[in-house]
Amino acid sequence: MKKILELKNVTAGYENYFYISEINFSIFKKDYIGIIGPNGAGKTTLFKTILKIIKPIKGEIFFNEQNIYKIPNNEFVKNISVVSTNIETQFFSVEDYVLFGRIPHFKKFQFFETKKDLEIINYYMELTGIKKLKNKKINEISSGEKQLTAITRALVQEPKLLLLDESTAHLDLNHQLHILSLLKKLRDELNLTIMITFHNLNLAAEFCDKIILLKEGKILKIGLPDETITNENIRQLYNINVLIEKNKITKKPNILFIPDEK
Amino acid sequence: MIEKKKKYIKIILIQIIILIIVSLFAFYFGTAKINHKNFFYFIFNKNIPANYLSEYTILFYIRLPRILLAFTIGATLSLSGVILQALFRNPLVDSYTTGIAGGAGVGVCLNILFRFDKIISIITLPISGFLGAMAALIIIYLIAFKKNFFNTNNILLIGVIFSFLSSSIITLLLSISKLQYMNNIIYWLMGSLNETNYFFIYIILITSFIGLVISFIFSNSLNALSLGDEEALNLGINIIRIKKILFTLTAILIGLSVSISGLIGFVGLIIPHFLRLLIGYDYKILLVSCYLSGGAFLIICDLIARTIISPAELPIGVITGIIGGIIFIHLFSKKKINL
Repeated sequence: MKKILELKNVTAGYENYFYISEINFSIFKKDYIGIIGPNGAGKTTLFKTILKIIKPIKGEIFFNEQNIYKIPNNEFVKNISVVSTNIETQFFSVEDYVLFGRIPHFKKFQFFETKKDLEIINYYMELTGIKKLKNKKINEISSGEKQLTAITRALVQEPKLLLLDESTAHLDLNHQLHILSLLKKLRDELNLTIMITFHNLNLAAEFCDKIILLKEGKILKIGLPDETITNENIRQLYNINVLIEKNKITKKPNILFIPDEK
Repeated sequence: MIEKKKKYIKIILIQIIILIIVSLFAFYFGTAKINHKNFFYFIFNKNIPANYLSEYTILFYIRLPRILLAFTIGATLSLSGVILQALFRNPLVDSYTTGIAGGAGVGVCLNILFRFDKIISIITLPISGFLGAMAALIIIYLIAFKKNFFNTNNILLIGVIFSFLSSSIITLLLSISKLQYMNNIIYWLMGSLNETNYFFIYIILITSFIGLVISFIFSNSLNALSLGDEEALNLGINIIRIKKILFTLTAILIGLSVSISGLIGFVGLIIPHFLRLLIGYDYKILLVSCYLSGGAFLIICDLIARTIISPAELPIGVITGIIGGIIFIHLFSKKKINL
């Protein structure tokens, strides 16, 4: 299997707070990785470090066996793209917003999208099912549709690795399930590698091939859902007691919460 | 050709036509009545009969430079306004919130106070204004570099503080100056398009056009910036470089225009907002449109300023303020300007 991303002993953070330290892991092509940890565990910092927004203090990150700081920026952004949690701009149409994802592919002094760019965005809009929204303004669509739009925007960059930071957190269950299974479909059809952060442990266990548990900036455990979602790990991570069963249909771990009765 | 390009070319053509019509109006109308037969004769012929020389002079040595200057200043101010709003992702920013215009103001006031304009030459007036603007830019840069250039709120805050500081300095200079200089300063502060020196007009016209070309090169980056810094980074945009280049560019543009025609407010705010409402948020068309429409807007305002109480003349800043304010409030309440 082909290693796509490798972190070697990475330590990074802002001045004195929100850090990640001595992170080591590799992910492989077509992995669907869930990252779990309490608030402040360093999930977002980890993503920002991978995206070169925060420079590591120590350690190295390799993408396709190449140090990410040696990859020219315009190449880098064609390979790794991130789905934004909320779309800051309000007044562009869905189509125009998605088109921004083609900017990294523009040639020097190319100002307008080509026919090919339009074909590509149409293909992805069809794939994610937002083509019918393409003339609507961003502020006219629902939050579920916004999330799909943000995913499409990231996809038209045609990345190999897609990062999603709590992209499903504020959606209802129906939309969460829809987006997570869509990602799985995209992974299979486009040979994507996906990393996504979660708060919902059951969804993570259900959809991801592998799970990384982050605690206080360090990796607590990395492995298959069966190996990571255990009583002991959850207690260590969140300081709560849970009961873990198997989902009768999918055989994936399923967490039952036990309220603290004191 | 893709549809968007066609649409944009159409928008630009319409604006150019409006601009030409507005310019012809401003050329024809004024305190001095021009015989319309002569008017067209002058436009198409080079040989002027001696008895029409005064009309010819009014048209080509008073009105034409004024129209050119009005166009250039309007274009420059609204172009700088739209660029700054994009850089700071803040719809209320314009030339006067960044402290650059304030610096130019202090420069010109000092000049008038020390009488360089009388002793050396009137040419020192725009030069001192420009030097003041550049001094402001350097000070803002030095502070911003110490902090974090990445954070646009820092620059914005420094700019706002700086513009308050410079307006206090201007008030101080006013209060200690003699009456005659005071008048000069106040007149300059209100803004005027009386500069008829073609040399200055050409300099600012060429610079502003270069400014338009440079900013257009970054139009897609400005679009990406509207998605937020982090998303722009992930689209491969070198945010810091763009902010530095375009901030310096706008400082030069504002410095030049303020030093030649004083403080003309509202153009940098009203035109970009008005156009966003009409043609959308894509900077590829917005930059060019702001340039053309900003110019046309100031030509109209100047026409009103010099005809409404003719033969006397109102300060142009008053007209832009009143017209701009009324349009802005109207749009804001009726059609939802989004701040």
